Amino acid sequence: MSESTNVDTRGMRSPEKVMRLSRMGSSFQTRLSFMRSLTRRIHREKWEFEKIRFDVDKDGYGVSVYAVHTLERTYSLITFTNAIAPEMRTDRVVAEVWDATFNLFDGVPTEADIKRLSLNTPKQEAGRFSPSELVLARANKSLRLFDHVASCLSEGKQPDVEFLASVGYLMRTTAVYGSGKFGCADREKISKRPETRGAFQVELLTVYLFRWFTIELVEHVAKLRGGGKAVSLNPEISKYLGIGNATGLGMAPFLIKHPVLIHNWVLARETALSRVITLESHTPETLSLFSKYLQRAIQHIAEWNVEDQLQTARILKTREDMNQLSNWFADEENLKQPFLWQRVMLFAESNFSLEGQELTVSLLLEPHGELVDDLADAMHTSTVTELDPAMRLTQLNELLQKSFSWALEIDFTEPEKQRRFWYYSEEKLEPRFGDRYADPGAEQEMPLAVGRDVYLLSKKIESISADISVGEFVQNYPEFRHIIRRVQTVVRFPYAEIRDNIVDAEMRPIDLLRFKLAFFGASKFDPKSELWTRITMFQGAPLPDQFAAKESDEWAFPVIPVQEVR
Amino acid sequence: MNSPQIVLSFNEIMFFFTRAAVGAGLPYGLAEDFGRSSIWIAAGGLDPAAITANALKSLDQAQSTLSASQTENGAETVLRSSGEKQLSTLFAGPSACDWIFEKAADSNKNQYFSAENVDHPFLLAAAVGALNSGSWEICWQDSRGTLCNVLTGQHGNWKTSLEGNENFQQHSPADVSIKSAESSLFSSKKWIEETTYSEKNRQVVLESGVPIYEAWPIIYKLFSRCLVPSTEESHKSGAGAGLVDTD
Repeated sequence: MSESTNVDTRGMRSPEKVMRLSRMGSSFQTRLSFMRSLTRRIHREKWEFEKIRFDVDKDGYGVSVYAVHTLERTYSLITFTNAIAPEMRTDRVVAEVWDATFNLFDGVPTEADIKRLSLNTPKQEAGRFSPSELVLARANKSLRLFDHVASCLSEGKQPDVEFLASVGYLMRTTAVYGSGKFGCADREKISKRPETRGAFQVELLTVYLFRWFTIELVEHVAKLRGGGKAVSLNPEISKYLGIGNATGLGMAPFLIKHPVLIHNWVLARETALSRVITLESHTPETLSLFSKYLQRAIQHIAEWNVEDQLQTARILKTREDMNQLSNWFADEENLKQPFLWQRVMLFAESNFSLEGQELTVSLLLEPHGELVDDLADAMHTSTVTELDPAMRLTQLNELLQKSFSWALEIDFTEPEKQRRFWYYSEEKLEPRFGDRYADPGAEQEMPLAVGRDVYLLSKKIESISADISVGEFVQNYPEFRHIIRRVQTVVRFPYAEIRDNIVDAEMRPIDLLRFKLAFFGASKFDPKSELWTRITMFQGAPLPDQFAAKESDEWAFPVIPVQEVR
Repeated sequence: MNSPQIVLSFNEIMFFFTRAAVGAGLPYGLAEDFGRSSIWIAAGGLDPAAITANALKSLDQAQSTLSASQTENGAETVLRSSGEKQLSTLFAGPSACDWIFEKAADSNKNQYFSAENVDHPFLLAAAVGALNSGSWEICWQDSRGTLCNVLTGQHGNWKTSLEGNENFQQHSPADVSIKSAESSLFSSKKWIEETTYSEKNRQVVLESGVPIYEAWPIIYKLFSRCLVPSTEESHKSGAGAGLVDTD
């Protein structure tokens, strides 16, 4: 999948279909998701984990260092835990204190490093960091679950798994910063290392290590509370505990600002799907695995409960879809014809909701690791947008007509078509979503309205009779330089653009968040409004001491473990 | 030298400097080019705030202009300000890059580009350097009549006759010429003695960050113009989540 040539998407789902907000907002994790590729690498390369330091008191407060030794390098999670007042606990960027704050350190930190970070990490955005730090993040406890698990373990009991499942995590992260934020290392520093070259690998490694830490932390608190009576978590329950995350608007602009990267993510997934559905025959093994994952997905969806009414309705429909798929599979006749996987997809497209269809895509990829896993290596990019000033205006106009018809069909003179705008607040640079006609600050709008800017460019080109070069055009109209640069670059990358108007009055940022989080590998989307969601990460993934198991890659669609009767 | 006011990553330079340029009045597309030039400067181990602050101020205070006309006279392409004001290098730099891009396929290597009365000549060289498009020689005379040169080479390497931070920061308008150079010029006698900036500099900076000194408040002040003041309403609901969240 070279980035320098035009991409052939024949046989794949079209960008017009895939890159719509409604479908993007129905995404599910797949085996190409970044958490999955990370755990596969950990297993394949036999990474080793080490608890280097754990200076934590009976209440769980202190400093700890957890390291992972990869083939060539060591990375360390340095965590500071503190007592905070309940009323100070918020998922927002504007928060000022957190239960836990942490960094992923490049190597093993010295005492001087830990001392330096102890003065900065707890301050998060107000601290400053160095290129030794790859990631900065923080998390808050799920108070009710953390206390429940600590109490149960201290009394020698396992926690109630039904209650545990209703939350899914002991702590949830509220921001995970990488790529040079607040002085941390630029992505360029690590982009050529095999283990960190993939998208968001250091961020997700940080979260993975932190998940391990939270489990050890609750066991530590329980042990000091219960003494000899205390027990450790059952390994199956530990495995079922993920890490929560609250994601807001900060994630949305990223998708607009990195069109080639997004193209590569989607191209990988669509190529994988295409490889699977063009298989004429299937094997007993893949059939068996598909059935296994389908049944597990049915249970997983049955255990997915949220308060949001719209998402609840979507979950109910997805449950129906999966039952339909199960019935379809139970009919032996359906399994006898060639191109089984293609017929599964066609059945889903004809009968299922968007969520049902996207879950089917995920299920189809799951049994075909050998066929598709190599695609995960292409889900990054070094391509930047570039202007071609030699292009004639007529050529540029042809590109607009060919690749941006979705934008040119929108009448941006209608006020509702650009009611919303995205901006940075001066309060901790928090990204916010405003109403152009009611809120101040539209003049400071982030340049994210691709559809509108394409529309305005087209109108300007229409007003110019001479077929001048783009170079001459942007000298006269420099306000179009950024959008022309983008258009000229992304036309080679068909999955680069979201083919919807992201400043429309009806736009739901939550769709962008879910799309990105699904590529991360998140599950249990729990929208709290149209602007933010909670999710669970690494739920069901092996813990550091569980990677030896042969099936350590088979953690998709985690389900509640069976509670032991004691 | 004093302690730096802040040490930035390249990503932060792109973020803050691009928006500082927007704050100074540059359209976003040109501001992106300015952000890339600022990273190129930083990768050389230089302070991009100190070097660019005056160019931003000059534009902000309307001493320089983005309005220009470009003409071709035989082998020479000339860019000049449309009025009496100095030509902002934040416009001249990207224009020069566009010219280079257009001429890249041209077999006639004798063509050259001139930008007249450019407010900050070194930043034009920075724009060409950030383009990373082979060997180009950029020349101008400083206010003392000294000939200044920058030579860009392969793989992001560059050389210059300028020495000392104050020369990079010098803000006196000059006519700047750009012409294609043979790659062999990089190791020629004329250039062998000059200071070289190479990929190694970039790697060192990636490991240590970019120290920013006294001019940081100027950049940050211009950057801040891109931020929207927080209101009670936007504080409460502009980003969705509540202000107290427990589960």
